[in-house]
Amino acid sequence: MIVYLVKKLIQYIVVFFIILVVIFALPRLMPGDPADYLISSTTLQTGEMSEMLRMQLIERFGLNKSITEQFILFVTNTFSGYLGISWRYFPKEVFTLIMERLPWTLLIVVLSRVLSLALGYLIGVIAAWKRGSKLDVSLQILGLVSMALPSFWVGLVLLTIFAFYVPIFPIGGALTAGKIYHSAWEYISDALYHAALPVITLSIVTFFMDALIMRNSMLEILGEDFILTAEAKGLKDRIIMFNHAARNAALPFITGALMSFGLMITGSVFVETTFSYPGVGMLLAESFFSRDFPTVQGILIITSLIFIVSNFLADIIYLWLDPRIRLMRSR
Amino acid sequence: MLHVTYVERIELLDVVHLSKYFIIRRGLLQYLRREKPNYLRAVDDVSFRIDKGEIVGLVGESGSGKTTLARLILRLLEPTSGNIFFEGQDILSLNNSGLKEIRKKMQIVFQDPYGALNPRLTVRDALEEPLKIHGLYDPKERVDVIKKMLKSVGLNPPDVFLDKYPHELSGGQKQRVVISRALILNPSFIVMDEPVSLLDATVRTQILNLILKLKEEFNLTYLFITHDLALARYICNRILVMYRGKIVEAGEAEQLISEPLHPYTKMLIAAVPVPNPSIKISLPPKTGELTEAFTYQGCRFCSRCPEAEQRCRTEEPPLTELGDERSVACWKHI
Amino acid sequence: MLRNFIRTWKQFSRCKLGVVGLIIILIFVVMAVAAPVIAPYDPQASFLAPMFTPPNSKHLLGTDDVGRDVFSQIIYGSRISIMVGLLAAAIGTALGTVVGLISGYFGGIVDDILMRITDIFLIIPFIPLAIMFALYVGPSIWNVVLIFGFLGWPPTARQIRSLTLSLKETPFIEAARAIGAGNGRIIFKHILPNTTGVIVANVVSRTVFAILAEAGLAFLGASDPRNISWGMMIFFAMRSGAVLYGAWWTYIPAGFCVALLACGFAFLGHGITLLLNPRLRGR
Repeated sequence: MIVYLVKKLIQYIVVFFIILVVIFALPRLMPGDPADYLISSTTLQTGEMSEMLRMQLIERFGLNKSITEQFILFVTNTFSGYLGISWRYFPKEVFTLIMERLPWTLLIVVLSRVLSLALGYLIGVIAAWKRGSKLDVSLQILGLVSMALPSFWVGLVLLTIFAFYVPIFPIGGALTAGKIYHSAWEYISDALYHAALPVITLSIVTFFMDALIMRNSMLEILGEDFILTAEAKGLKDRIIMFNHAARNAALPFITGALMSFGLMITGSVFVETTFSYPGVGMLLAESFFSRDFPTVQGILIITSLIFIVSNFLADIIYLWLDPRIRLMRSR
Repeated sequence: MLHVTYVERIELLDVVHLSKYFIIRRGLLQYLRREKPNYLRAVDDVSFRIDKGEIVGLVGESGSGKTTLARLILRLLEPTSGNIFFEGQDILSLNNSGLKEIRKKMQIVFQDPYGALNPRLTVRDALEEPLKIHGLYDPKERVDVIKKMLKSVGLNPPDVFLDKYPHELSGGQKQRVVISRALILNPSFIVMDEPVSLLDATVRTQILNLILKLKEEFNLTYLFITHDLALARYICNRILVMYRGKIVEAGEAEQLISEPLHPYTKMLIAAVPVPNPSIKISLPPKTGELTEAFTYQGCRFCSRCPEAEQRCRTEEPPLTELGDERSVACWKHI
Repeated sequence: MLRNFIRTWKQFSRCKLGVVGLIIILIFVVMAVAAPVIAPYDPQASFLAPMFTPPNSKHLLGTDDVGRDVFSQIIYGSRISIMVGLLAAAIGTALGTVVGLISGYFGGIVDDILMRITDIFLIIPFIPLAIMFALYVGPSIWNVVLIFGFLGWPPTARQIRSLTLSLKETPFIEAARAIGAGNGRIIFKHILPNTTGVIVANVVSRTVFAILAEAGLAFLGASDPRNISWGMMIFFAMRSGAVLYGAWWTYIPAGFCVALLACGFAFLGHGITLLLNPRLRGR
């Protein structure tokens, strides 16, 4: 088991390394001076950069050194948290920028995952139990549909209906501009108020798939003998459903949930942009639009890292939770 | 029962000390400890000869190595050591083009008619392919050749079958197509790997008769592989008995079955049900299950052998000729 | 040949969802092909009416922020979505098939290396990489096609590889070798034709993703403004404050078309998967 984890860890490290190589190589492979991509942009008038500052930055990035030295510098920089200076928000460091925005993204991602998973768990279990019913069939169809839905469109629909026509929710942003908070509670409720629509949007898009996964997992479990035993014992349907079947079926569900967590972070680009929600996703969209190379690169690195780490955690937890493997270990 | 008097014995196939060992995959730990890998000796130092016109039976249970041996002869697998001579040629030293030539002369019919035909090819395609590969006949002539072949295997009228797909044919029909595909290159030698064991009983007889008829019509030599001793007796001139990679007994079919020498052969014969309710089958007591693995010491059979002695456990008996086409590998008879 | 086709169709049409998907796709294809005939106006023609005019009899879906007819844009937009979607999926699947065939057939070191590479690609998060790529390459509708070509092949490769592995062991492959067929012939004439089901299913399901990806990238501004795709329409709408203005017709229908077309392919894919795996039909 440890061997397996180590192998996976090596794999992940290799992936991360490759991403770093790609990020490193791209600006240097493109036609033109790499410095343009990394330090300043001749097509953008962002901030004034004195000649001296430009020279300083060239030093910092080592663009006047050999490729190998540059790469080593790049790697050391990255691991010490220096990801460059944003152009759009000059002279803010990319890393700081990302860290500022990350909590907002985490807020909506975590909230929507929890919501989606909880509901998905419930509906999935019920759908599996009442297999073939209207609920079940419509779940399957909706699951298929939800895979084909563009998340930004769903967000826009919700926005139009609930923020414009029936103004329950705000049009965008994380907090009301210029508001002064008199208590922590006010702050939290305002944040939640603004987070509501994005969270609902994200949840809608993922909920059906979550429920489907739970349903399929349940169906496999329900087919097994121990369920028959439980029925024969005369246990109430609901008890069998939740205590026996769902517990076992939850395993692949949980690991799937963990893995999708990493994915969600990148997927929130669209939703955040739609709601002008100042998270990492929106930062990515903004930076892309304003051709802020360092920020885009930095986000790629950070999100890859998050994705890889959550994958790895999922691997570990799966192994830990699976009682079959736990038992094998103790033998 | 088949009696063939040899007027002239022309050697067709000569297998000399043929072996195929498979490496058992080791785990990382064993690799690091530099332990010697274990080998599965699927075919171990096998030697025999097949003459033109014979039907030689290869009998053994599953795991005996007979399927591996069949594939070695056709060079669908590469042997670990040994030689194979076909019509005097060393086929192991052939390069790719030489091998392709030989393919025209040696063919194989498989056990499973369902898997042996590409489901996407019609009968016509399947039969045309060998011709295409070797560039035989004018494309226009090919259809006629194919039709003639279909008639020979009993698929009459051939036009009906030309455009059928495998799933539209019955098991027996499929096997006929497989046989015709093997024949279309005009080989002189065909390996039949359990050609009827997956067919229904009624179809079985038909196909067997077909096989015999074709032998006469096309002057063929067969290596007939089966686990069914009764069948081997019916069809074959000579029988080779294989156990765990080695030939343990060989001889003329009738003689071998009426007077078996090797304990394994005796066991096989005793296990064949006889349709006489008053004759009770008494199997010799098994003294142990198949011992595991990869320890090859002494006679392969000794753990199951009711007549095993001390010598059998330590020394492996070689396949010894006893004259009159008979050979056996057992200390009791050498 | 025809017999085969009819038989396959009968089987396929048992899944109503699949047929619905096919119909949806066909409608959009017709729309795309007949665009010059159906569209009432030139989609690029601006200031046909005041900006953000709501739907009326002259402009079925109103106008956008520069007075262009939304309905015509929608019709022409179908061309981009379909073309980009299918092309991107086709390239990705083709690459994946080649990799899978080689990996599965030859095995050994080649297989190991290719599979390692595949695993690595599967872990790379798609969207940030796609965005960075688009950043460097610049705004173009070919972004999606290229990115999919480079990143889209692993799942297909995996599936084709495992199919190849199991096919390799079948007797008819051995038979092909026994009659003297070389590796090339075996791969292309024996194994490949038996993988068409998987290939088609893959192309269709990748198209779903490709359509969404194209719309997404266009929405973020990565696409070429000279060819207005549905995603671009939404992009322009947002940038010009259509939401605040309440001009829902500039973005809701466009997004709806993206969703509908993607759904069409998703349903079709569902139907095809059922066709290939009779076991699943019971469920």
